[in-house]
Amino acid sequence: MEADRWRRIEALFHEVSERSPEERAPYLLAACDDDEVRHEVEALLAASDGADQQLDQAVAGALELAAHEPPPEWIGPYRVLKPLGDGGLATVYLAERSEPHMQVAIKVVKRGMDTAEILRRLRLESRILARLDHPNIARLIDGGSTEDGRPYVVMEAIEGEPIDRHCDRRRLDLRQRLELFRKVCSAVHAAHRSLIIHRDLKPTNILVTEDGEPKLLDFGIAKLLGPAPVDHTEIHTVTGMRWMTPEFASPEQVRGEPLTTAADVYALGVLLYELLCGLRPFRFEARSQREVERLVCDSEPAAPSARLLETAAEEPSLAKIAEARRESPERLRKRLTGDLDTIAGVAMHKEAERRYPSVQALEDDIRRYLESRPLTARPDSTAYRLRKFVRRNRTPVSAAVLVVLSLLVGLGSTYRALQIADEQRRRAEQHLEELEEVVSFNVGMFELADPGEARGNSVTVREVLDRAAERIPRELGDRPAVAARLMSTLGLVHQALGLYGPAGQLLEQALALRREAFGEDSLEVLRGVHQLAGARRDQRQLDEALELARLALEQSRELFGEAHRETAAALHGLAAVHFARGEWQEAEDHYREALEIRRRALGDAHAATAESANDLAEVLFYRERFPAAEELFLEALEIRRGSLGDDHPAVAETLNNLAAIALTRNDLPKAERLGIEVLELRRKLYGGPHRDLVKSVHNIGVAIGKQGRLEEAEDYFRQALEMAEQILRDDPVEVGRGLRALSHNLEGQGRLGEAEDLIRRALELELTALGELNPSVAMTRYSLARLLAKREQHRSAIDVLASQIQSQRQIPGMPPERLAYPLMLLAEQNALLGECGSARIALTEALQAYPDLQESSSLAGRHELVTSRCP
Amino acid sequence: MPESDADVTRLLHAWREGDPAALERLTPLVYQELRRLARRHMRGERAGHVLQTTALVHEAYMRMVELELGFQDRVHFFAIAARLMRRVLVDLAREHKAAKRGGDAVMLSLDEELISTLPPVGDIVALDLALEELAGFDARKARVVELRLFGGLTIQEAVEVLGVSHATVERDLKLAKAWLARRLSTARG
Repeated sequence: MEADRWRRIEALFHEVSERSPEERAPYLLAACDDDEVRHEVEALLAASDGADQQLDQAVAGALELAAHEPPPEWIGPYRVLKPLGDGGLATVYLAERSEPHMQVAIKVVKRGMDTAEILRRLRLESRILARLDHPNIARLIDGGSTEDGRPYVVMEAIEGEPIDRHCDRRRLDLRQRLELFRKVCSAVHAAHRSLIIHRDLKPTNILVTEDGEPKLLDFGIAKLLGPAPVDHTEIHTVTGMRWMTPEFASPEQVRGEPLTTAADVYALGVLLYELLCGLRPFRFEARSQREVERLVCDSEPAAPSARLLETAAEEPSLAKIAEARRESPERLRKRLTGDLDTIAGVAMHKEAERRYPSVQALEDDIRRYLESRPLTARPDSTAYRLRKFVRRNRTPVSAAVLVVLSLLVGLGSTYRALQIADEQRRRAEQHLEELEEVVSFNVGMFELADPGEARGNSVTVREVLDRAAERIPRELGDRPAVAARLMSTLGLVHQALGLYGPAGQLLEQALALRREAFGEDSLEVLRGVHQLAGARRDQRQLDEALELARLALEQSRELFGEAHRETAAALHGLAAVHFARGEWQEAEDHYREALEIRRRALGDAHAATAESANDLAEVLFYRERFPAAEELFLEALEIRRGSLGDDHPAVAETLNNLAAIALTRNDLPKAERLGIEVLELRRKLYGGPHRDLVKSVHNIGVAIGKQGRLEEAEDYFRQALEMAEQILRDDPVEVGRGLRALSHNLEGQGRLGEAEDLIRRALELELTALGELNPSVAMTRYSLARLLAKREQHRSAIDVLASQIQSQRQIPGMPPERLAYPLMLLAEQNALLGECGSARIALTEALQAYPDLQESSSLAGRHELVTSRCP
Repeated sequence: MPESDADVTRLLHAWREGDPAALERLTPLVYQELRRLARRHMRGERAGHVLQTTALVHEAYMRMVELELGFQDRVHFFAIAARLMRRVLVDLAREHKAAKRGGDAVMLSLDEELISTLPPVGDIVALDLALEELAGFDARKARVVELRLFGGLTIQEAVEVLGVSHATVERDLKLAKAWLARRLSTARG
């Protein structure tokens, strides 16, 4: 570049970059008439923002690469051609030998990884391979030690590709896939006969050669069964867990239990599943131990034919999957339904003893299928599955399921069934044991009523609910009163399950039915309006929610007067809507009123009184009036324990709130302890993912994070977020909270880029759902600005802060001193850019909002920086 | 056997006193040490990337220089180390690139997830070339980036090495980074 031109570009670049973004373009146009120079400056300015990150990434990438070992040239007599894979402890290379010429695969323990245990493991692997001589298993050729003493094993090099890819690329149809799969079975069976369990069967360990022969590889974590030499035993339990591949790991493997050949049967089941329908039974997102455990051990995968209908965005489309099998989507689904679903389902059964007893038995059933003969395997009966479902879910879902089950028994006797169910629900809350008996009874009836259901795929609660929702209007059209109550119940069940969209729809229909059956001025309609308001609140349709909640209150006052319990309930509902809207003052007023009415009408010891006390305290908590909040939480806890017992979701809720109070006091060990208590209680109560569990896990993350254990906390936050994204997709606020928390955590760990991505996602979600004038949005903006400041993107930080401050001023009920935080950050960012005028204005405003801001160490630090740069 | 720590200290001094041969003897020592440290540095411990080069350079300093040196000697050690760090990273990346060449369709028992996590080697090599290009018409700016990015020098330390004002270092850094970022983006296409 010419020196002259570069000087001009340099001067212009600095002049322009000191201006605000809006001023830049006009200034540049006025200051420079050379188009090329101007474009160059514009491009440099544009590149400047992300430059730090981009360059840092290049260096970081190089550092990461540096930590990898470049391949050696020779290993023993073999010349290394290239690395094939890197498995943490060992590296696999492709190598060749000249006399006689052959290509081999060599697995070498990495430098620094040659501990006694790992060496033992590698010796074991060669012993295992030496025992196996099967055309479909890669052969052991040699073994030895490198010059620096690291052991290696030499195996037959297989030229081929993973079985799943092979099948798709060659477009093998179902029959060809099944034939190929049988060969894999026979290889695994041969290993089992030699008393070896593979323990890591997956497509990348089963390569298919050009001539279509599958070859089993990598017995790296295999285990010798039976009279194994003593020194191996402890290895299995330790390394077996660490090395498993979650997609193919059986529940017993995930739990770290001793493994039998049934674990390989399970993995083969997963492989079969994938070869059949092109998708894996589970989608892991975080791949954390907890997620894996939850999915593999507790959740029932869809049958292959059903899984086809739920492909996710990142997965291949149904059309593509079908095409790779030379079928139409519809035909493929039909062919999988029934026997093939059953074979995969039995091979992958959660309980090892209900799987095929051996790989041979699995292979036999596939042969039977291919010969169109009846299978030996039987799918689980619906009764078995439902009993299991209810066992896992307990209250409150099980009570809801009871209602639905009763529905399905046949709607002819529905009204009676509903009464029974109501009665059962009441009892269920007190006697879980009894509940189980009742459920078995009902399930029995269910099976009688619909024997066709005992075939094929799993019935999910969702399906049961959907079916019930369809049947109500069809079969009870002439009895709107019954239909309305059933529809409401169904709606509330959906709401309890976090399915807010359908819940809203059902409750809306229910309200229409109530109006038709009971007339406008009735308790039934009042309750319907109240319920729908709650649903709209959860759906974040907050304007409609507010309108409905106000309507309910008005109706209640008209029907029952000011001091009635129904009016208190309506007030409480209205307060909850205000709370969701971030209108804290209104929320507080209405909760207070509801609490007073309930105290008078129901007494101090009533569960509803506790509800109002608890929820009022939550608002006080958000308004940072902690002592008052704590007092109310303690009262609510005592009432709830007295009226509901220790094991109740409401008790867990209040305990959780007390944990939050401990957090604000910085009594972190207490917060952690209470948090774990709540989590255990909730796990016991819910069994599966639930929005309350999200909060518990989140709070523990906060408590742990504040104690400086950031990585441990990250794990909790990821779990909470993952659960929130899974079950609360309809609730951007909860998901936003999860994103924010994880972002803060990563920020603390210095992972600023990741943190920024997350916080931007959170902001986007919250803005869409809540609009500008909301406290959460303001807080998220502040987090974003702080991150940008840390990344030295001062201009962008200033822009974000300006929007935050502008809207935060208009949010009613926000403590005014809160404004000092964005204002001080704004002052600091301006000071750093040398814009002292703006810095001083922001500083003055901050001091107005919070005269004692020196009390906060972070604000004091900023104050000092600003006054030293801009005296 | 490498020369002892005391030698490193002595060489640094000698070089600062104006003995050019001292630098020639110092360079391979520092290069080897940085290379060793970079290789040993484990994946996973990442807390702000620039800090990591800083940490490596500082660790090398701690290991190689036993006596507490004055500010100037220390800064000059970092300045040498910055250049060598750049070379270490580029060399290691090139070695990997060479190793990755050849062969293609053969697959064997590999954990694809793991192998695909290897970062692309292009970035650092491209950055090195871009720095070279920048040095061709504005050597000081290239040097500022090198000191900061590969040696982790603070602005104040860079001021000491380059003998220009604080403001100049900051401005150089800003423009140079923007130019490099643009160069890298356009090169990638």
